Amino acid sequence: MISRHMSVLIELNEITKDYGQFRALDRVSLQIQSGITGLLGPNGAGKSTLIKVLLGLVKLTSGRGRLLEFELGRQSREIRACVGYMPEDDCFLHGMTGVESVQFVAQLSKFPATEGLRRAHEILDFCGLTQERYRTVETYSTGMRQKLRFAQAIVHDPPVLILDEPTSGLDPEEREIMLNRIRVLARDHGKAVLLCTHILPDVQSISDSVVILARGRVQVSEGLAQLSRPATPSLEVRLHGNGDRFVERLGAQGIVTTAGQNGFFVLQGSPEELAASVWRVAEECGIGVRSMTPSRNSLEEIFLNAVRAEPQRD
Amino acid sequence: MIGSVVAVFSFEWKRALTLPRKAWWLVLAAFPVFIAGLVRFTAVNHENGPEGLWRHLSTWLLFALVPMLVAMLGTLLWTTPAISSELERRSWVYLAVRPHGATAVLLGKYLAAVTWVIPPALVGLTIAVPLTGTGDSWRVWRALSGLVFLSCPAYAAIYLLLGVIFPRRAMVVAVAYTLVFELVVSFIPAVINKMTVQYRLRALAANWCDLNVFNTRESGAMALIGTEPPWHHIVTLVCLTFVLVAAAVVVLRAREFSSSADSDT
Repeated sequence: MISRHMSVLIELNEITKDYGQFRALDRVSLQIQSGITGLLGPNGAGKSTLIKVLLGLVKLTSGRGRLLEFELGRQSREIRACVGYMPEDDCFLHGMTGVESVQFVAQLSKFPATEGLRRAHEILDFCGLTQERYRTVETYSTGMRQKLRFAQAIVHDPPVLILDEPTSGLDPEEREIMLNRIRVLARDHGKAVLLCTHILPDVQSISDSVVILARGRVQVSEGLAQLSRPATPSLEVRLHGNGDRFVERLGAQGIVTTAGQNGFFVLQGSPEELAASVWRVAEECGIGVRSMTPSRNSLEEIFLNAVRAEPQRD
Repeated sequence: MIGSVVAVFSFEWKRALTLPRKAWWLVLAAFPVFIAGLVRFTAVNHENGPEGLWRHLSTWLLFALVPMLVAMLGTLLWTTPAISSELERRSWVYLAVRPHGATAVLLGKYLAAVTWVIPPALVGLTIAVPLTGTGDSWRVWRALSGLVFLSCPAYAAIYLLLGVIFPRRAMVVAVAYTLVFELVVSFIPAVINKMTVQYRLRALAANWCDLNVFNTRESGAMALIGTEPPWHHIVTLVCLTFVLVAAAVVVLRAREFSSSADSDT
């Protein structure tokens, strides 16, 4: 569990990583708070390199950083002990059953064999791998392999989780269950989660903050609530019935309304102030309000704007 | 750390009990028996040659087959791909992100390889020694068994280091090293041959099996087996093994490995 005073999980300062002539990370500076952070970026943006830097699998070309209280590059072993990593690759250890492979990973994380086996069963229960755990991993479906990789990442109870595409290849129901597990770990067990994915709705649904990388640089690093707030506050209203009189009456009160399709309207102004007017006018007009939500920027929009933005000139 | 090494060792031994690995085990054990039997039964009038000639020839043959070829081949197949196989399977990252994962995998695989190769070598030797009719069978068996316990760890350490330095072309480099250094350079009658494992093993074999047929100045073969006492060779081999394994661990920790799937940065 992350202690309260340790709300900054990862702190990077001017991190650069070159692979020969290619610069994968270019002076990346950011702070990642505890909670669930979505790490987004197009292919080649530097996400995988950033994860490898955090895990000490590659060395920094320049810059400094720390994960929890441990310094990147110098305390890799300590960092690995407190990080659970779920890689994207479909890699598994041939010839082992599910429970054996989780036990094996637990043993590599310093647990004795019997304790490793106990933890393996406990975690596999949490991950929903029931009798399949006794089958060799070669026979597993994509969904089972995802669960197994997730189980291997969390078997040593690390305070920090780095999950690379945890829901790819899952059907909608399994995807929702997987997201719930991540939510439970973050909210109920105090885990800090770095969620690296291309599935933007996943990030939108469970993340507290978002980091967007493009061309090896940080384009966006902010809380999701702040990011989603539109430049001009507005309220989205969906009505049941004819909305012409409704729009007319709101217009008379000086409220600018844009009409969409199927009874959908966007009202300009502070959502808190507009809500009372909407209820009153709807009652006067005798129509029902099906939904009323403050307008939010979609993550897709935020992502595309960040990725398409011109790189900063120095 | 020790627990992690034991876990990898156990896992590797479990892998070793699969059918292909068992088949390899039998091939390694049968190989010296087959060759020794072939030589024995095709050699005409071998008892009529100069005194002691057959004993020397058959002992050198057993030396070449077991502590040399079986040990080399077995460890080459097991330890050289220690890292490259995990990189190819993309499982390396799984193992490497554990606190002592990389080192434990390397040491666990090394120990598993050594303990896997020694038994077939000893089985093959045990059957092949009486088959060759080398005379003092017990003495030859003891000497060559001792050499097996020195050669397997030493060759495994060499191939382990090569596998860590050249993970992409590990097998090619290991075979090239074996051919060039252990089979060619070791037979050059100059100081350079002292750098090879083969020289140390050969010198010990000559000493322990009393193979003095080469031990004459006239033959010019002194440089091939040297004049150092046996303890000198043993200490050198043991130290070499430890140094090479330690070097492999150091190189492993310093290197950045990436799997074939790492095209996405």
